[in-house]
Amino acid sequence: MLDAYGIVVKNAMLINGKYHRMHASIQSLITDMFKKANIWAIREPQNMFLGLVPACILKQYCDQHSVKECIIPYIMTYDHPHRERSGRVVLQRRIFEVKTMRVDSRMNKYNPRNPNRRPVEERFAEIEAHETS
Amino acid sequence: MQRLKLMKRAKKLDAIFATGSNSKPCLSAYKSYGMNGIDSLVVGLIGVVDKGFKQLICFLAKVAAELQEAGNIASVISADQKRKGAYELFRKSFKVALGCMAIKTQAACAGNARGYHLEYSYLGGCFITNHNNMPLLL
Repeated sequence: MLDAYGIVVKNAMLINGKYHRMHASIQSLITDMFKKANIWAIREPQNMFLGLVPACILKQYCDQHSVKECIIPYIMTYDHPHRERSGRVVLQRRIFEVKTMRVDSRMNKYNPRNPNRRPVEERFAEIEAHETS
Repeated sequence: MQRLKLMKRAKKLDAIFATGSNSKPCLSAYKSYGMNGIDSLVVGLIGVVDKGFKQLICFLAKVAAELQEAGNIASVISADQKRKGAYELFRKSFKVALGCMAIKTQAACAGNARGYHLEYSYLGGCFITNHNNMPLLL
């Protein structure tokens, strides 16, 4: 049962931190969306540097068997169409990360008193600020 | 994983594998993806998405509607209307699937974990299914 402002969802309890499954589910959903649009997409690619760095460095990177040092993005697309300013459409590689939100103790994520700023936009602004800091 | 972490890790890889050279192959390879690196897709608890994700959904619906196979899903006469109808159908199905996923996953988190696994079983190449095991995506 949902209300207009998502108060019920906000007050829902999360048990044992299972919310991280939402990440995996949404990643699979987005990969499905890419497949519907006939865009090649892969979830958690193991080697995103293939064809982009020199062979000697790539070999060293592949030979190291430490997962901690590897860079594994959530979703990678290979032939993502992108329209340039000139109007030309080019296919480019893109990588995506999925950010979800959990009910937090600050109680300010779904605040109906501030309808001008949506929680996802706030979260996106936080990510951008973190990147540029 | 956060963007800053990824960038730091790429710099670290350069320090390990490309010592002594001025070029930073891993960092430049990372930045060559998309618009200067990784793109964030933010999803809220009740299925709300940020501006970039919204644009991506519209873009994917547009690309999917332009495919030849998509012409059969919209039951209208003219080709132009058919394309518009397919676009709307794809966009709506993407948004509905995303909203259902966000809300139902949260509900599953608050409820029985075993029921969660049964509900989100993989079927027929489409990950999202409803109670009757019918795919939510077209």
